Amino acid sequence: MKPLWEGAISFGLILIPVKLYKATKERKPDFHLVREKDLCPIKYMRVCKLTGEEIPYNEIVKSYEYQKGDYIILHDEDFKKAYLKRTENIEIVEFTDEDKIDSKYYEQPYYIEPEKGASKVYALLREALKRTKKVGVAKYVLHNLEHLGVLKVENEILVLNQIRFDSEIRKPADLKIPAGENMSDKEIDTAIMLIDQLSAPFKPEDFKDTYTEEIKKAIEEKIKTGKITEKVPIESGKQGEVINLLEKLRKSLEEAKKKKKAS
Amino acid sequence: MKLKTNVELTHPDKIFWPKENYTKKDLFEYYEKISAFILPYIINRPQSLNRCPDGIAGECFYQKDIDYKLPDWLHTKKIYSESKNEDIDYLVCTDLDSLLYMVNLGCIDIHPWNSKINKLEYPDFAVLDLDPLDVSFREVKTVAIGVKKLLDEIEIKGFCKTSGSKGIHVYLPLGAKYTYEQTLDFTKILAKSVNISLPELTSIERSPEKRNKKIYLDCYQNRIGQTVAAPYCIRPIPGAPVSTPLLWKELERDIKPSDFTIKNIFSRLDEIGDIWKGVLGQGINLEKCIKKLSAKYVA
Repeated sequence: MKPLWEGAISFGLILIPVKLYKATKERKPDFHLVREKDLCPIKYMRVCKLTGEEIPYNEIVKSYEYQKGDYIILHDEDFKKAYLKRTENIEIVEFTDEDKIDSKYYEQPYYIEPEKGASKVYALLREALKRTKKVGVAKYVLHNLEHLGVLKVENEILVLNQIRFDSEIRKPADLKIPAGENMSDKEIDTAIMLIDQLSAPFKPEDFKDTYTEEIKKAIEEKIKTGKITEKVPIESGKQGEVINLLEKLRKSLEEAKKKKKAS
Repeated sequence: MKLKTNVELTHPDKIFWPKENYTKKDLFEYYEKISAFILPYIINRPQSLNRCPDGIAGECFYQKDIDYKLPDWLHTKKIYSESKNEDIDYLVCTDLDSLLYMVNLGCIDIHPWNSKINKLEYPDFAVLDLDPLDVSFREVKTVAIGVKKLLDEIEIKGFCKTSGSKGIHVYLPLGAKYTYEQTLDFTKILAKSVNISLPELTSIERSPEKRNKKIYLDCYQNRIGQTVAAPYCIRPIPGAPVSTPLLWKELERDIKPSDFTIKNIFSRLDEIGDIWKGVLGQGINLEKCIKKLSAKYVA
């Protein structure tokens, strides 16, 4: 696993250098987009909507339409300035009971590993959380965005569960939800009986992602019976290289021409 | 001893080619005589010195950095070397005297840069080096004819010469209009293109094991600081062959690199003159070449 982020957990005066790993993975099979007739691989390009011209990354900035037709441009410095007070750390701001956190807030789990030399403080926080049966509520910045997370112990690992801000949760005000309707005890008992019958300890591994498995099966089947598209023949691979180089050179000459005109 | 030059020839009688009994004086006189032909291709260019002070049987060594005091009349140019992370003082050939000075240092072949000191970043020509590994010269000629066919297809004029050793060098005039990177990319395109049409004979693999018994289409001389043996220079190998400009049609004849030597080259030159002048003439237009090549490859 590759760490997604390196930094430190801070609470009070204690600083624990750690690495963050995404605890989840994509479940879809990996598909490659290609042109059907020759398997030419497809890539995404950022182009100008008006001219179709490809725009290099270094020319792209973020803008905000603050009123119809009027944009203000924001650079990295502007974001940094706005986040000035935020530390580079996962800053634990309070401790609370886990069951006080509603499940709809949970967004994305991360594993936390101590950096070299931080094992002792890592273990210390873990032990304290276990004994108090508390979880930490932490703030941190990832991908230029501030996040809220819940820090808890799971099988001796510190896990950071990213949770949503309250402002991200829609209020169900418009939904028509029944109040207490008339029902008999018998009806309720029948419903409860049904629940009892289907009760089981929850084992996540018992539930399979059947969609993905069906797709994989279909792929296997197609490999066996369907038409397999030939691998790109060597010649056209080399031709591809020639075409790429031609394109690179064409751009380079164009750039040079532009520069010359500008000077 | 003194000749028509300011440069003193030291050890004139030292044998440089033992089998042929050619001396250092023979070499010196050759360069004096050939100077009108060779100078246009080496003048005002930094030189990599390939010094063989004891002739072809002795030890030869490369020298780029002139780290000792030269006579005042010689020119050097400080050029930053990325690999060494320091400035290197290159000797610049400016005239006959500086050429002969190099020869007296034991330079048998001459290795000029592809660009001149006033436009160091822009080579005057592109070089495609057909370098055979255990393949006969007949095949090298076949590949060179293949290169010519491609050049004809995209309507550009190229020039070829024997390397003097086993291969053929193809030069394309660029008129110092394009960067080394653009030149390298363009040459790569040509090399790959030739490789596609002659896969059995040619290779574009950089590792020698992978191109055994093939002709390597080497583009990597089109990088700043890389050098190729100049036209009309002598190679430090038996027979004292000259890197000789050829007419394309000569490739169809039964010629070999060893046919052109220190002894017989002048009769040929008296007859046909310098057929390579175009190399330093008006450069080809790469935009047009790209259009033609794109039409060939992008269906």
